Amino acid sequence: MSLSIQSLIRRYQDQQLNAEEVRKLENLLRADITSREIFRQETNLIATIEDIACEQGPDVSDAIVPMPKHLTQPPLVSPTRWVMATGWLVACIAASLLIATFASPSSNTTNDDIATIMGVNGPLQWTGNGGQVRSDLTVGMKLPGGTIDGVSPESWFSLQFDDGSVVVTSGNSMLAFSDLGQKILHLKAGRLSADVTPQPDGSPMLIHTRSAILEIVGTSFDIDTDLAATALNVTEGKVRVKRHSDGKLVDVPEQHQVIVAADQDLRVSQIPKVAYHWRSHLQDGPRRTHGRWLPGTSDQDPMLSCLPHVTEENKTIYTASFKVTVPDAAPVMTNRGTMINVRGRLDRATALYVGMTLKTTEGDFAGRFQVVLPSREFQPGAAFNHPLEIGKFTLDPALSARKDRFASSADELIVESIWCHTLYQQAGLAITSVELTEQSE
Amino acid sequence: MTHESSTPGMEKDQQYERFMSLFMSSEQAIRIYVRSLLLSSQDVDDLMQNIGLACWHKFDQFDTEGSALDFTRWCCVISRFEVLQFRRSRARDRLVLSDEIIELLATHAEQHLEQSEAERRALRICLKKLAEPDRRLLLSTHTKGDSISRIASESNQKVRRLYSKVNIIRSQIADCVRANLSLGEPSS
Repeated sequence: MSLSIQSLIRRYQDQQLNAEEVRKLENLLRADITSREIFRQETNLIATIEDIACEQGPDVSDAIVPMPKHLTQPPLVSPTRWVMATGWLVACIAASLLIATFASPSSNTTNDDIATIMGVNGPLQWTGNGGQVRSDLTVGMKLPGGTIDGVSPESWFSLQFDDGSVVVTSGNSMLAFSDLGQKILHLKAGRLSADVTPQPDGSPMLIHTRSAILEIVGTSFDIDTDLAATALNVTEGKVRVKRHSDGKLVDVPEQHQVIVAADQDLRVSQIPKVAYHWRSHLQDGPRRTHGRWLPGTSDQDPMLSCLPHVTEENKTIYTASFKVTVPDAAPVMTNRGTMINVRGRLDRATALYVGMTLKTTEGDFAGRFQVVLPSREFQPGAAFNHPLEIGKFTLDPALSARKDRFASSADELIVESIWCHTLYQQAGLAITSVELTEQSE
Repeated sequence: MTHESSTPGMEKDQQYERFMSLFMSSEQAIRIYVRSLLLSSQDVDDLMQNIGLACWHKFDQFDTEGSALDFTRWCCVISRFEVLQFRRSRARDRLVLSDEIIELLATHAEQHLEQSEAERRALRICLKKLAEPDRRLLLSTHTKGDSISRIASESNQKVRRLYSKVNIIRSQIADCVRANLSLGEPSS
């Protein structure tokens, strides 16, 4: 429903609706506060984009493509907005100079480079200190510091500092990194795994999250952070953690974990053993999912509908995903008897991709494995329920060129996330549940 | 020498200065609120001056202890009536939502002014993360002198394809805004 309302609102704003569609939109807006909320969000988005376009000046494209300028024309905006536009243009010129001055990532080492990209997967963006943004990151590229954004659930990024320490981010994440004699990382969101070589005396690696500072001398660990809490799993070595809210310190030894949150005891506990069963809990809300969560109604289960996403191959996929292994629970593993059961619905019969992002027990990326269910297995508008055996999952063809770096099969690995998508066109995919079980022998 | 108590003229000047200070800091929020109730930014440009005057004429009714957010909310209520009046004064030459629905949307928007402000801040951050060609494409439909047709002819692409790409970029931006807000207050 939210997609159709979104589409109606956009077409209304573009003045493309006919009378019947306007009535339909009115009925939705009258009946449903969620529709009014979507309307508010959409119009706020459009109005802000208009404002930003206006601030950029009446002929911003001339800065991009040389064209005859119309400088003699009076400004078409109000005086206040014109002042803003002028300020923006000055800022643009200053930014251009800065961008030209700062080093860009390259395959050649410069004095500023501190790390090398060891692996990239899925859409990622690097923002350098000069404000430069690049999304064409490749293995071997040297980086002088900056911020890496993983912009989709399948994003994955591995970076090796010059001393051999490796950090890996996965999924939707944002990591800022620098090394001016001491490695300082800011994990603003998402998941990070690291294998840190012994750091110089007095200069441990520092990882800042919103709720904690982690001090690492040399160790292996995983972090998962969001607005309220940071979860840390230490697999090897020891990490010292300082909670922002009260400054309290704890040391987390290997095979132990801690959740750092202002409203919880700072209690270190042993990492739980692995689990072979897992199921989604959409009735509890959208936490640790990617997609548009729709609450349940009297005649419909809660569901996660897909969001469009453009891949680096310029394909549009419509995707929804679930984080499976999280640091505050036992890691979820596959074995040869694992079954993945996906329930949901498709408005239109189309091929459905069901996949898992997997990692090794050491925390390394092990690949994305998927099953493609052909369109003939779906009835338009009807619910589906597909149990899938682990043996049916094969390596994503996008990774096949580097297949020797990944696992040869999907079993005996830790499940980081499970995702579903359709390709090219919105087919109304919505997932009601995903379950990972162990088939009895 | 003793200080004279302020004259009515001085009071008015001070009041005007306070009004201008509040109005300028709220102007963008008011403008976007009004834009959400009207169909084009040109209409908003036409109406903003009236709204400014209406707010100034009623400023003595505004609680002097009120915060900047209270002022924005107060101006939005005044703007709502200006919008309804403006709509009625215009020939109904295009399909628009009824007054009843506009009232519902206005009430909803007034209750979420802070959220809208947070979304706008997040949007600016998200926009910076877009690749330059995508950013230009998204802004092109609202930028004087630029257009999707122009980009299409420069890049040898079909206009229709670019329109659907704009739609995808809008959705990406909306997702980015949601993601930013779910992480807390965005910082630039």
